[in-house]
Amino acid sequence: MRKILREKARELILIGVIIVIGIIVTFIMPAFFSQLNIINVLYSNAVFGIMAMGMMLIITTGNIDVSVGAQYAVSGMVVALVARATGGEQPLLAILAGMGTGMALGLMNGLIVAKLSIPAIVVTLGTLNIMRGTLNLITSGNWIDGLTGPFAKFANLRLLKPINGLGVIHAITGGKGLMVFALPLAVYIWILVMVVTYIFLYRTGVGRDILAVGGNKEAARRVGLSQTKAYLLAFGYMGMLAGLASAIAASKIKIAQPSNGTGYEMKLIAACVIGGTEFSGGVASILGTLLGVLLLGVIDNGLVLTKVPAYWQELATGVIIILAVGSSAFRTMKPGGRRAIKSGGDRK
Amino acid sequence: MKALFQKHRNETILASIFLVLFVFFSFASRNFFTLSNVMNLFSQMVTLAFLTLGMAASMFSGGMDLSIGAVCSMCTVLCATFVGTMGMHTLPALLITLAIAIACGLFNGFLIGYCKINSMLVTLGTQSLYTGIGLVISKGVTVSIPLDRFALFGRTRLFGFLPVEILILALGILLAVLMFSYLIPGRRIFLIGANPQVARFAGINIASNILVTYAFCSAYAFFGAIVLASRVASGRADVAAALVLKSVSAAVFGGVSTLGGIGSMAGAILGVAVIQIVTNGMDMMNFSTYLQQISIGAMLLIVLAFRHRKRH
Amino acid sequence: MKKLVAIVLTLILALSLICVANAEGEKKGTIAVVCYVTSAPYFSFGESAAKATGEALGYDVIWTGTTEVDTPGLISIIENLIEQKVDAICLASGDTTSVVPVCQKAMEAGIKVVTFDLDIEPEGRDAYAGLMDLSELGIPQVESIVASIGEEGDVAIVTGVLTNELLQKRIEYCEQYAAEKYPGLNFVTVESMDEDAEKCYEVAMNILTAYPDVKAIMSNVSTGVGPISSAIEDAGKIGEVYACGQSTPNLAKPGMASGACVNAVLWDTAKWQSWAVTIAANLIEGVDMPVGKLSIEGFDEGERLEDNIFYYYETFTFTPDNINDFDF
Repeated sequence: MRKILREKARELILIGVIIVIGIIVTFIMPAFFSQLNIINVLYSNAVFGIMAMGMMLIITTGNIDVSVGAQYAVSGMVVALVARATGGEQPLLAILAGMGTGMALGLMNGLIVAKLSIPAIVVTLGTLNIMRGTLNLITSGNWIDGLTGPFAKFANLRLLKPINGLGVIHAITGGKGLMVFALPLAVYIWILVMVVTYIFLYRTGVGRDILAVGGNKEAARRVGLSQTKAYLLAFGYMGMLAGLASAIAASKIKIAQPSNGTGYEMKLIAACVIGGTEFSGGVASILGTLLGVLLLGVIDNGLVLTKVPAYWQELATGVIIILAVGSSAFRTMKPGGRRAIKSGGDRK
Repeated sequence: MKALFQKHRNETILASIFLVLFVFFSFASRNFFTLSNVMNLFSQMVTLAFLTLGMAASMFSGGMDLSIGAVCSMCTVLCATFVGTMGMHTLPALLITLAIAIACGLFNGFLIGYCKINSMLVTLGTQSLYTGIGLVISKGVTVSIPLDRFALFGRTRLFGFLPVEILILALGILLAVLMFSYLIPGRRIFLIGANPQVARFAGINIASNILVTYAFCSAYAFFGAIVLASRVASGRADVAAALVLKSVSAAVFGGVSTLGGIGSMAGAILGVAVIQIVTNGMDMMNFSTYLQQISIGAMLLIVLAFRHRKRH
Repeated sequence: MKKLVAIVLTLILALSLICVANAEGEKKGTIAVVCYVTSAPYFSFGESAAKATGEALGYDVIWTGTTEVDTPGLISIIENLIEQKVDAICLASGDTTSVVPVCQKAMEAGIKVVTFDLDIEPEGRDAYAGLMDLSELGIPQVESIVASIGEEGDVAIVTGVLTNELLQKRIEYCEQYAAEKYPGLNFVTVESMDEDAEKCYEVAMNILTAYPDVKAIMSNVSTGVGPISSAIEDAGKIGEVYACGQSTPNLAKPGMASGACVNAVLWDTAKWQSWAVTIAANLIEGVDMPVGKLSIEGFDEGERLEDNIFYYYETFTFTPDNINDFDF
């Protein structure tokens, strides 16, 4: 028991913080703890959550990708083009087109980083500008709207019905039924992505390679693991997820804008690192990343529900991030206040 | 002479690129090679230059100060509120704002140096924090400064043509180059960035040096802010947000490494100068801002590729 | 190394010769149209219209601006235009004061400065090519609320960004006008969508949860009604809550089809830019435009008021009946 507590300390703290915030908000605004609101929070953060899985993988390899927002925007445009051209009747085609575009962009990033041995943050700064500039040039800032048909419906599609059989359930939920499984398709896709990521990372050889390469580049190289392959996989995966996420978003709001995704990268990085993925690489926590995304989502939702004036929200977010980060850093300190310094010249 | 060239190879190449571009744009656009445009060119880059110098300092130490844009924006809000809304005299307003900026830097440094939390993570949080403070003070509105006040740093020209902010930048560059290329505190920070274990064995107090580094970053963000606030005669909580990534690009372009320990202030400034001249020159040639964006991204990658090849 | 230098120099020479050789056609001059956020459809839709109008009047048109909100960048662009000695600058700025110094420099250099969208301090411009009185711009939006839900009820406002002066002024005027004419309307909150359609959807969802009694969500920018309607549909509140306020017709169409929106307003943003270009051209040529009703081709209701203000009064109200007649 104690072992679990120590190993999963960070995740437990995050769960605790989320619960505390939940309690405070529910106290002020009971509607927070309603099925509708909880499902809403999950639905709103599905896009983020999916991309966070990709960012987690990249940080695990010891890199950072700041061009994620641009990949998201470009893929979104492609998805919308296909959706519009097919009148929305072929949602799968549009989604795959988006995922393909995203993967191509991601692979481009990965290739440059692997072949040129330049820190990824810098490479992706360059590709970010190129992608955004090209997208703006081609579209002149115009967006694609009016998406219809099955494509426009799939994100919010409820495949399962609420459970409403027993009288007692009927009474508790005010006639709406237990909606725990009647979630929008987008949320199920998010869960699926997390499962796939878990299997990929921990149960396949290439996934373990990614962890190894991130943890200690030299040792991995000596053992014969290919850094290039690991990077390509990680960046390609990120791009593919960005494409998937952009398809869901386009379906959700039925619009694709070239300016989409601005500022997403910082929030994604924050979510991953709050969740325990370390910049030095080699450490990934799917649960932690999930909790990081949820924490940020709950903060956003809670601030609006507690009617905190809009201009206080940024301040509140900053305070909470610092507290969350500070408290878990405290926890992982060894006795004596020292923390192990990793070699390899990675960022502090 | 040749030895000097070899030692400062990176800076020399950057300076040459700058000169080549200068010549190119002078021919390509009839309005480029005028005194007033050249003065514009330099005065337009002042804020970004200050932020880049500050960012470079944090990068030398092996980290990255992402909150530098937020500190800058917050300082513009503070200056505008003090001078504009509250009618304070300029000097006390500046001193108070500088003090607050340094306090922000010390807070960053404390969390990074003493609590040993990752710098990107800390500054991601403090970025929201400082932006938020700016938003709350200004209630989200742009705070304006009456046009006849606070004009010194951004709207005054000496001898009819020399913008004051260029002089301020020159002083800032001098100080930065002095500190980081010649003085001991600067050399210490480089060592911390290059190899923290060796630094520790050498008896350097890493924590206090990190404090100094991040205080320096925020101080330079302040200087950038007063020029910015003066130029636009107002303060706004998000005015410098986009400059953070730009300053990282400029610093890296100038040879500063994100891993720490490598680079120079002179290189960082030249990085800003090259990016600035491309932007200004392309404006003069009426190239779309989208093309400018693509060019800067491409330039960054090309320069990096070149440097990589030279090293291998 | 020497060879490299030689090649590079030759390339430079060749390129610069090509550029200089681009002789200009027989144009009366150059008008620059500068927008403070060129990636917003609100402005980008107007690019071709502005260029077409300018060229029809005999001018070269430079259409530029900052991609995102970037006040120092905007000032740099104007400075560079001054250096290029354009004849007129039509400017849509994000706030009323920060560009005044540089605009004054432009005026001193003999360049005509015409503002549109948001006006700046009068000493910084030669003319304001406006649509109508800013306070009155809030009126169609409030009327849109009333047309959707009647004269009583809780209303939430979703705005583009918090730091934009024009948007804030419009909200103030909305609230003032409603307080006078429709005291039964109760504005419960103002939330920001940060210019992002996805965030707008989320914000709308949050409003629906936090304010269960809200009857209308009014969008203060032309990009809000679409996502707000989606949110109302997905929350199953069609008929209980309405999206209203400003919208481009294409964005409002899905909402009108589903019933989440019954009334939206806008003006032709492209035409506004044409208006600014026309006024600028007239100023350059010294065409006499006396105070009072003007007879400018294409703008039937054009009028000049005191203080160099020009209005052309053309707003649209969209309803499910007429929405399919429009396509922008």
